[in-house]
Amino acid sequence: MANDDDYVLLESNDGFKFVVSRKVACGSGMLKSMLDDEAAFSESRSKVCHLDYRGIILLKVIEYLSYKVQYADFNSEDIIEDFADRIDPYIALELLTAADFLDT
Amino acid sequence: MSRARRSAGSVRGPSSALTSFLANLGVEPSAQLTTWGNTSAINATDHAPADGPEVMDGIDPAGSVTARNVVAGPSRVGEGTPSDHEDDVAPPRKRLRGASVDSEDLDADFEPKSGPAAASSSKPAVAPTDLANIGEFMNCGECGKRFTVTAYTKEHPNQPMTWLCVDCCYAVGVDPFAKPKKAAAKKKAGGKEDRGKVVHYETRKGATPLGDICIGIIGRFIEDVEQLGDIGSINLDKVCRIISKSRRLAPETAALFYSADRQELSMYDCTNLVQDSYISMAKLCPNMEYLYLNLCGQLTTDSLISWSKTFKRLRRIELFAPFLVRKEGWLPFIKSMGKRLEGFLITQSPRIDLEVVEKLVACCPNLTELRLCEIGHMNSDFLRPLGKLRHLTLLDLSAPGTTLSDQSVIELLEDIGNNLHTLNLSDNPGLTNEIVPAIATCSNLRRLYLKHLVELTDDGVAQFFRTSLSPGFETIDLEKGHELGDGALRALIAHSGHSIEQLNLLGWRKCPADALAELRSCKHLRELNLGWCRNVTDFTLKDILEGCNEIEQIRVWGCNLLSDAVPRKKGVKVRDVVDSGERANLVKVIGIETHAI
Repeated sequence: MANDDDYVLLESNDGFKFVVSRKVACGSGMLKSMLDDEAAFSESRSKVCHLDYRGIILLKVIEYLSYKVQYADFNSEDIIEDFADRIDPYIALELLTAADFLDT
Repeated sequence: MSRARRSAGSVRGPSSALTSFLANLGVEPSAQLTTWGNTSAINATDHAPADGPEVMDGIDPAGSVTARNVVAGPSRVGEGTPSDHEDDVAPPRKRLRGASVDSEDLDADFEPKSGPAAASSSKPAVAPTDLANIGEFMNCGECGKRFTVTAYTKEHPNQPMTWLCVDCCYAVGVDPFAKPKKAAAKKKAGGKEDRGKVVHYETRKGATPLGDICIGIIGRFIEDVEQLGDIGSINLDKVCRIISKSRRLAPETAALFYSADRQELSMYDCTNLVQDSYISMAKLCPNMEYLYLNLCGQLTTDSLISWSKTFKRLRRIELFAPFLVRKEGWLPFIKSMGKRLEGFLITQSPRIDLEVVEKLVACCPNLTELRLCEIGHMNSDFLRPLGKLRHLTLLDLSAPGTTLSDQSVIELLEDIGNNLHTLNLSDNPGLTNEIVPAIATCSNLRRLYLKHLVELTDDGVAQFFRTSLSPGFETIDLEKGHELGDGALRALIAHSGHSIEQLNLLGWRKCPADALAELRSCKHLRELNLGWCRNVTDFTLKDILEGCNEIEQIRVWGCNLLSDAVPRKKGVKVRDVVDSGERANLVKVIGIETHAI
């Protein structure tokens, strides 16, 4: 397993690139297995994941992942901050497909 | 015992509080009490080891420490040591106990005991009972005297379920006032906490999944669909699958999938949809032609009556589990569909009866697909009217309430067999080899499902493949054909080897490995189920993997001759039950026993 404090690059299909700490990226089950060293995918070697979603969607996903990682050890009812407030309904459907694919 | 004493000693602090508590109640601390708190007293007794042996004779010495003593201990007590005697003795006894644990003179201890132990048998033993209520009388388990039960009454350390009077507590070395009720109270509290924990156990950790948040937002903005953005109908179907996956398709979210220009609609989990959702579905989607609803358990008769008025273009309907729809719903619906209806596929209905089927045949002569699967009222009589449906290409009569008879199936296939493309007669235990010639004459048959027809024999099925007029099957499902073996398999390969894509041989337990290896000649085979074919070996799989270029999935549950050495073709994925990672273009071999361990 690579050191946990390194960074990975997530790239959207419209060219936006996000440098994200591995810990945050691994909040997504999909990204976690893509970046798993033992899986030997090209992504785990290059630490770059190309994702077929728009930058705005990916941005929101990453925002959610850091929120998720932040509150990982909290009980659900203890989390006062509601992430739904940060989602524009206009992207909700697209975000849903991304969330499902990335297993967040 | 010594431990108990020490622990009691270590709780000195509380005991002083107890002393003051008792003082408040007007109970004067007696000499014994002070002895308990007073370490110097103990030390003093330590100074006089010579007393030890004597004491032991009189009272329970290191009784609790060794197994032998357990018998001896109580008996000595029975001698009825007078309480005043005990008083004197108590402190030294404590010391003795300590000594017996640590010291080497155990033998010395035992000798004196043996005498009393013999005597003990003659003593009137107190029968073990539950502790009586506070204020009642009980007999002391040590001295046999009657005493009043209090909150502080202690159990005899050596004789479970017998109880000690205060004096004997000192004699036995139990602090008579040590944390009395508190212990019990704490236990109860602990129990309550535990019960509470069970509830807490269900609380989830971490943030709500993003998907759930999105579904919630979709539900909130469903009235204003434009705000949700347009993602295209293909993606909308994907959204439907995602929502269904977590059983989140509810009356609110379902509205997302209704629109006037929609011609096809598939809903994968309608469990939570209510009657109104179905009625509004028809009203909001007047142009619907193809409808598939899975798990539509709350679909009612009234919804179907409403549909018959509003669905003007519906051509194909596939419902899984419309339990609640009665005949009164089916009849008007079928009547209104009329000649337009091409597909009527129903699985699991206890209410469709012969009248509905007759109505269907009379009103919908253009039916090409008919599924009446798991229909409770179904029996051979249902088949007579079906003979008029000359356009049928798909016929599924599996798992009827009463098994179909050979004769009825033969007559039906004589009428409509020629056009049939797909035939499913699974789970009809009454069907025998007799139907085989009738199926063989279906010249266009490409998919055949004969699961769990227990009466089929190897020769019969072999004969079927030798005589079948079909140009070659794409799908053959002969699951649980327990009697089938190499004859049937070789005939199958000879007949359909060039065309077969999906093959299910689950439960062909006698089928020899060399016959199974012949499957390598099926070049187009994609999915293969070899479950419980007991003779499958690593070499069989090797042959199949090497021979079948298009193979994607092999199921081998219950093939216990397979080992870890199952060959894995290069560039081909072998999937077992443990490996959860999936990669495209690779063969999945599912169910290898050794992989699960």
